[in-house]
Amino acid sequence: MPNEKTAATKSINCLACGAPITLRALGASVMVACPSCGTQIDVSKPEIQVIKKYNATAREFDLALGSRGVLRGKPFEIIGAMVRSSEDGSWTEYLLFNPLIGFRWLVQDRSHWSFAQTIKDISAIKPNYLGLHYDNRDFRKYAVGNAEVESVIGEFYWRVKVGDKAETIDYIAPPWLLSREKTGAELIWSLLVYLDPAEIQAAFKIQPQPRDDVAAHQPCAATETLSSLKRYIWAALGLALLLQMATVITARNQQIPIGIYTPSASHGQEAVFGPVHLDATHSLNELTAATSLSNSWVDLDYALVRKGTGESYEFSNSVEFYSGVDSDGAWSEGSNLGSSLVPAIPAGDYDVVVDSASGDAHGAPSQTPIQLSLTHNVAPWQNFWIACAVILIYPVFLIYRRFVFERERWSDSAFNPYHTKKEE
Amino acid sequence: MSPLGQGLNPKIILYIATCCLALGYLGVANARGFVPFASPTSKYSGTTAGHFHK
Repeated sequence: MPNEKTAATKSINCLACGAPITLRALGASVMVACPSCGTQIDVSKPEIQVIKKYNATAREFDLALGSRGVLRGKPFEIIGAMVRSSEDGSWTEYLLFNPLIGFRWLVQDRSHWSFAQTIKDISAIKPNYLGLHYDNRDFRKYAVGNAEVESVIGEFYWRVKVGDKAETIDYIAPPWLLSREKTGAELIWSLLVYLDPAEIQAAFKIQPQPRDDVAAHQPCAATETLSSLKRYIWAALGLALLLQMATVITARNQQIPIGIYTPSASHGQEAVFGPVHLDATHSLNELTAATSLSNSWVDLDYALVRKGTGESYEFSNSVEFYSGVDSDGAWSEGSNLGSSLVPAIPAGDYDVVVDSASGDAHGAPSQTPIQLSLTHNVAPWQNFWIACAVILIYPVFLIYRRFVFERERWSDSAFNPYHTKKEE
Repeated sequence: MSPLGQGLNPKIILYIATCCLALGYLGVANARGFVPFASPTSKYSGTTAGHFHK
């Protein structure tokens, strides 16, 4: 870093235990806690003096005082560290210093890391319907608690001591967290941004613990993927709709009457209608059978037989209608209208061959005439719904993953929006 | 990597490929007049009306 100014450093010895202490932010810090015994020393004046004497055992921190790393493109040195705790557990706050930038915080809460900065202009924080609005983001209230300093080492820009208490409120807009701390009359707001473990690994060359839970402001991977996909989802659905509209507009929907078919008493007696001319190159056709059955059924088997080649396209449909009266009153089921879609028929002249089986409540065959008609070149909709389903499968899966993630995120919060009365 | 592929993660590329397949299917199937599950079967077997059926 050729352009980086080097902070003034100075070595002193602890006034209590004699351990060497390096002052890394001389002129900016007002106190230092001895890394060996915890004794707090006033370094705001040239004549250093003890603020409070401790005889504590040195506490282990994942990152050592004096460690340097680049976070969000800026180099920082760790000059102080403190452990704080609340009802929900303890966490570590590392004070970072860069003489050109000033102080920042690195917060380690179990396996989660955040980079934090004190907000100077707190008038920019506005209340809104969700909680707070700051820097074009809406923050939702997540936690209220009391934090207490358990342990402290290194330099600080204020006189921090073990036992210091603060009332805290956290608001989240992942990956951001707004933290409000009130100590007596003093009110401090900080903005934290969640750091991926890879950033900590790259900055300080340590191996962070694997994450085994969801932090309050941890970004949801499914939400991020969904956000990246949004434009492609809409584009694909739009194109599908365009293709479908083109199909609907070009469909001929040509009505072709075929004739009246009367079911025969025995199965296997075929009736032949036609020929009918189908002129669309490859078409979807709908054959409709309309009749006036009562408490009987007809199964119709059809074959479109192409003139000249003898190619046969077979299909079937059923017409059945039942009605009666029982203890619940009158009932009816079925319909006197049956239809079949006949797909991918090449252009040509076709005979329509019809065979049937039928019956009523007594097993007697039906003799009711059936009006047959064909709609040539209809627009299919199934393909459109299948395409939409394929396009939406992954987004729906991501929405489900986001739901599961958010539910876990809020599971530790007193302001859990997923909490139902039933669970209480 | 091509300019189109730069900055896109594999999940997005896979998703775009899936969309292309879906749209390709829609275009070809509609043009060929193809629909799956085209021939219906009786809906009333095993229902109140089923005793009338063969």
